Amino acid sequence: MRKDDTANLGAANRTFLVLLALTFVTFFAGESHVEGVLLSGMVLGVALLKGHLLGEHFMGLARVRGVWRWIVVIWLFFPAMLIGTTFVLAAR
Amino acid sequence: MSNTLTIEGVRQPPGDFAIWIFIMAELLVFAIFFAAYAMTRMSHVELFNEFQLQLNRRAALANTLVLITSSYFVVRAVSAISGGKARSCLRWLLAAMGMGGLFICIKSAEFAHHFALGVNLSTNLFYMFYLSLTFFHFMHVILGLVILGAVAYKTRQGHYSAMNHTGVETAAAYWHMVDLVWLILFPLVYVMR
Repeated sequence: MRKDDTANLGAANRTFLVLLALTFVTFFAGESHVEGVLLSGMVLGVALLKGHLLGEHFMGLARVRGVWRWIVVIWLFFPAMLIGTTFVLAAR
Repeated sequence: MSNTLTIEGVRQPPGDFAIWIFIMAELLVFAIFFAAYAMTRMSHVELFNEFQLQLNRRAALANTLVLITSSYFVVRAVSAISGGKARSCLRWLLAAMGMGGLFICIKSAEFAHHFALGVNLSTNLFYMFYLSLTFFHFMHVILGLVILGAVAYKTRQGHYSAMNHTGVETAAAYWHMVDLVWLILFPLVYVMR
């Protein structure tokens, strides 16, 4: 295995553990029975971070140049903005 | 993963370029679904919050862990074939498919529970979105399993090597997309209120 492949696999291993940990954060936030914008914002932020990590290190976009590097981030941004806005408006 | 193509000096993402067009189309459809859910919820907050609490979050947690693990196994499969280890690649692909199968079992049990209670698409707005969103994703998991199965079969037949494994990367990209969508679906439908 080449050196860069080993480094990529190392990043994927770390990403896997971080994704598992963040999933428990989301679950326990749901179990807390807290409602409101703060909880929703935190959970949405965690989901965006997880999506970004998955795109970078599982889909392999961290090694891609140009617009394709950001395709997952772009996709995450628009629904997240809309979801965040509707949750804020609904809480008023 | 290291087998990226170069077209007109721009590095493309791993796998066949066509799968990324397909992935973008799929992600757009799911984004519209998410937007519709969020906008409808805005006018029915109490209803959505009340029925969301009746969902099985433990099953959703298990399914999230299962899909993330499955995605990781696919990363290992791509890494293995990049190093010319076809047998190892096959094992990782089969492990990923096993996790995908587990997702199907857990989700089917969840659906069966709802149907036994008489819940259907016309029960209320929340269940209409919950059932259609999760079932649409469920169908994508099944398609992903078929793709992984086809690639596993070709790997077993010796079609892929360290120099030629675009097919494995293409299947991996699709499978990660299925996981990516669930990473948003899980908090949106099961947790955020």
